[in-house]
Amino acid sequence: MLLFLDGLFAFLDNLHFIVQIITWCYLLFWLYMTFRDMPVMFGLTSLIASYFIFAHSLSTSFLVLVFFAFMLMGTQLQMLLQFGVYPILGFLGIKPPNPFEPQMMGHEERQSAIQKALKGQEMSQQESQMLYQEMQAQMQQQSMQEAEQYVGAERKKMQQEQSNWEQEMYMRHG
Amino acid sequence: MLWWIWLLIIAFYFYNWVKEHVGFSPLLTLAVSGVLIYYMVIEYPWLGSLSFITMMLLTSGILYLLPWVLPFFFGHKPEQQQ
Repeated sequence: MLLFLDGLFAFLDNLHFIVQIITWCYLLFWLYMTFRDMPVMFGLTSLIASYFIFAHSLSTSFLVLVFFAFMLMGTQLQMLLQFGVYPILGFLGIKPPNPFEPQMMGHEERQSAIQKALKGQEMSQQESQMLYQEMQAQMQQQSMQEAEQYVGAERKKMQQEQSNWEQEMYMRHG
Repeated sequence: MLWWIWLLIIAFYFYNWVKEHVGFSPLLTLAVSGVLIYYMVIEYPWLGSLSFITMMLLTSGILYLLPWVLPFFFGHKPEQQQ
């Protein structure tokens, strides 16, 4: 047991050293590219970076990992979430969050907000925002209905014209 | 034999990675690649293989295919129109 733990600790120690070396390489590369024309700056900053990596290794490694996960892999993460995970969640019956969905108010909230608006009192920003979003959603719905009505009327008119034309042709040519 | 070829491949991968990053100093390249190859190929070859495969997965762009392929298997079925 003790021997096994000893091996594990040695392994973790070596792994930690390897991660330090890799982080150091990435940082040296970045510094070299950044201070390509300023060798003095490169030397100074590489000394500082080496100090941070080998003296405060855990926090530096953590920061580098966070940088990699969210800044370099961020687009892949987002795409995996939106086009990979969300469809699976939908298949399982779980509704994924939609930040663009207008937030609906409760009845009492809406009443109090409308009362405030009628009395000319100041509304909180959240209330006015929600009212505005609701108004927008209603207007959108209304315009959609109007568009549907318009399209329906046009379709009916076209059908009427078609049948009129057919009748005319029938009357003319038999 | 295959195992040795695999070890050679990942050793070359690590050497190449070091050359890409600290290639401005040949001495540093030798030292760092020596350290990496000693630990990741000689001491812990499974760890080296795992990191090689993971890095290939991350950098080859094969993850970009997942969002295209997964909806085919886990997407909604279209409703049949009567």
